[in-house]
Amino acid sequence: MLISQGVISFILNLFLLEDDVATWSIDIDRESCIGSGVCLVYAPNTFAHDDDAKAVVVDGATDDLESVQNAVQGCPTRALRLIVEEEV
Amino acid sequence: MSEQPVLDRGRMRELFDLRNSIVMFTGGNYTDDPYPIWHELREQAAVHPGTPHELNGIEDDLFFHGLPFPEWPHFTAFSWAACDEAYRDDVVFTSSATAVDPEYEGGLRGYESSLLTMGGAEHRRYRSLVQPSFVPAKAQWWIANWMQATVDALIDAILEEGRAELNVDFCAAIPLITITGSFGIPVDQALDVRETVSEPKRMVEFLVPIVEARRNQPADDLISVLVEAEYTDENGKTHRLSDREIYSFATLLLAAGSGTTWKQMGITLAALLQRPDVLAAVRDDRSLLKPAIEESLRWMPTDPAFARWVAEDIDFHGTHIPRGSILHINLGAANRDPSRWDRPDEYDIYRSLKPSLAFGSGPHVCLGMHVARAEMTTGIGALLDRLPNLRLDPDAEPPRPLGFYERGVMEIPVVFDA
Repeated sequence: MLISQGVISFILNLFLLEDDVATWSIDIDRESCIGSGVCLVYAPNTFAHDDDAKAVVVDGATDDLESVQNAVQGCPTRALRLIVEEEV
Repeated sequence: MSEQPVLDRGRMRELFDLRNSIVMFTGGNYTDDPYPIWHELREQAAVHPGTPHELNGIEDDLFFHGLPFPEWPHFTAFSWAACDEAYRDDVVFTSSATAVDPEYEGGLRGYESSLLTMGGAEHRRYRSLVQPSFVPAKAQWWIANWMQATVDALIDAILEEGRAELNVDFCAAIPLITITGSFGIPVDQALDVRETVSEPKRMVEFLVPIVEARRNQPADDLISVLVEAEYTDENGKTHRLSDREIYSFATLLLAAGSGTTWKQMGITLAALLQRPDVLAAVRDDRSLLKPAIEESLRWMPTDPAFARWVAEDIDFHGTHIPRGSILHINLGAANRDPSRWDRPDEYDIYRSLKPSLAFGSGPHVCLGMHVARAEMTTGIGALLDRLPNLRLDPDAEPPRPLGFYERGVMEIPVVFDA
């Protein structure tokens, strides 16, 4: 986990539709995150809340890429960013 | 059998009559399907001058969020892209008239300093005080404390009759008792509280003794969370919510949460009952209940339009909107934008899940969305568990949607094997 200027980066492996595994990271801007919980609706096996109701990525996230993209796109305050690191 | 008292059905029917005088102001007598006109308008332009009801040919003066404000120019957004952007840009599209015109004195009275109308940092600070009680992880707290016993008691009351009307006798009661229960108000007073929904001053009379009691001795309820919540201002000073701020939040919650979830649960149940194969699929595979609820929220959101006050001149999706206008976000139309959903008019629980605008978006996105989902999941799940062979009453009028700014179904007459 990397922390800089309130943005936390989580690096995780996500399963693509073809069962290929790629490494992605998700940046969570804690300033923008209002804890709406929208990301937990679309990718409940990737996101959770900490005690301050801010989004975090769980260990061993298992949602598919489409679910994570829905969570990122659905975030009402654009607090999430999905970045592809490298293809394995 | 549950120990919980059951609400008086006759009084429930009066208070939750979709055709009563209060609902009429929001277009309660509208029985047409508004969606074909919304499709037509969206094809012509993403944003049109006019209010949503005018654009649908309704000539009555209706009241809702952002209405009537007769002296302000009105515009309505219909496309997914325009509605999504308007929700997210709270600098241009603000949540109160006074954010645009500080001298403005008309509009919705009583909510001037509530979460609904605040903006920027003040809104963020207040919302952060209550958000932790409304996150998905808290759903079980709401269900165990205030939903499950109500749902069980309501079903106990109809179980041996073999028939029921589910819209008022079931759906309407659950959100009301959930919210009043979370305030610490006993079930036998819930209907008295509901009667005050348009009179915040009378509502406060119920809250005064409860807030005072929780300040002395906190309990495991929402009012206790509110009296104990703290925030630190920019000078590092710690504040707690005043009694007045708690009353304001509680009245907002009752107004925003007791009618919406009721009607959305009714819409969802009616959609399932009118599609017996889909209902059977959900009964047999309960993991389908979530997509059934999410699809109902997309397909027919109970409140299809909310307003924003425009703080800057803007060229917005092909239409010039001057500062000092009101933009109505027709999220009902956005939720059926064919650029985002194939076959948008079909209620299809198997389509791949995508975010809709049913709960809004941006910093004012619905605070109670996970409580609403928990209410619908608990309520509909219990009906499927406990009422064998649940189906629409073949001898009764089938449920049909009505209303314009507050949509719902009038009655859901069902039969089942007793």
